[in-house]
Amino acid sequence: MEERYLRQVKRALCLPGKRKKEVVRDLREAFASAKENGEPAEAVIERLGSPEDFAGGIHEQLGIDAAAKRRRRDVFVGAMLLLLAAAAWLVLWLSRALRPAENVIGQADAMTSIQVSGSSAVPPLLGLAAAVLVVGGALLLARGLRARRR
Amino acid sequence: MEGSYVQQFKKGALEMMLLCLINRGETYGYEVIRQLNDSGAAVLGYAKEGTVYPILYRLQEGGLVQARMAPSAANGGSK
Repeated sequence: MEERYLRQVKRALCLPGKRKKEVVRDLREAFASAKENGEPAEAVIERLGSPEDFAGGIHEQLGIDAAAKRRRRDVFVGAMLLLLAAAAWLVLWLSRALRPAENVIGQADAMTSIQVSGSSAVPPLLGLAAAVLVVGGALLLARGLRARRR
Repeated sequence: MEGSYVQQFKKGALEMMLLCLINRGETYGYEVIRQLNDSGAAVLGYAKEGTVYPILYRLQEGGLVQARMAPSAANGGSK
């Protein structure tokens, strides 16, 4: 019960990692103190409020605009994913463009056992990865750029 | 539901009482809330962790309050 609550608070908090750890530590201490006084975790959670409310209270007191921060992060990560997708497609295109020509070895008098070929599994996988990255990146970017509801 | 102004006022009053209590001596989260409720903060509404802890963080950020770790995790001494 307590661990679940702490996890939810950690997720809802929009603070640097170190500060987040301090808050969680303080909360653990509150639960421990309550326990010493015979109070169950539920009682403390009742007084703390929902994880979102508690985190929201901290953001409010510290003047943090958590929503804005999240949007900025979404835009950044979304853009990075799209860039990665572009890089993957570039690699794909290059591998196709640089594939050796069909008759590079030339004609031989007899059957040869020399084979020249490009790699087989990489292009489809790369294409799939690129597609996933594009979808993910676009979704994040869209979410981050969506205008704030008044 | 009370208006935002009243809410802010109560938080401000709570802040003053917190500073006052911490000034009297080092304390920790759970205890300070108990002290608040014992010394009549109930007038402002029962003091609970959800309201008090964020205020304590703000006081800490503003340098009005200092926290340290101790074996029994003491918290909050005034400067």
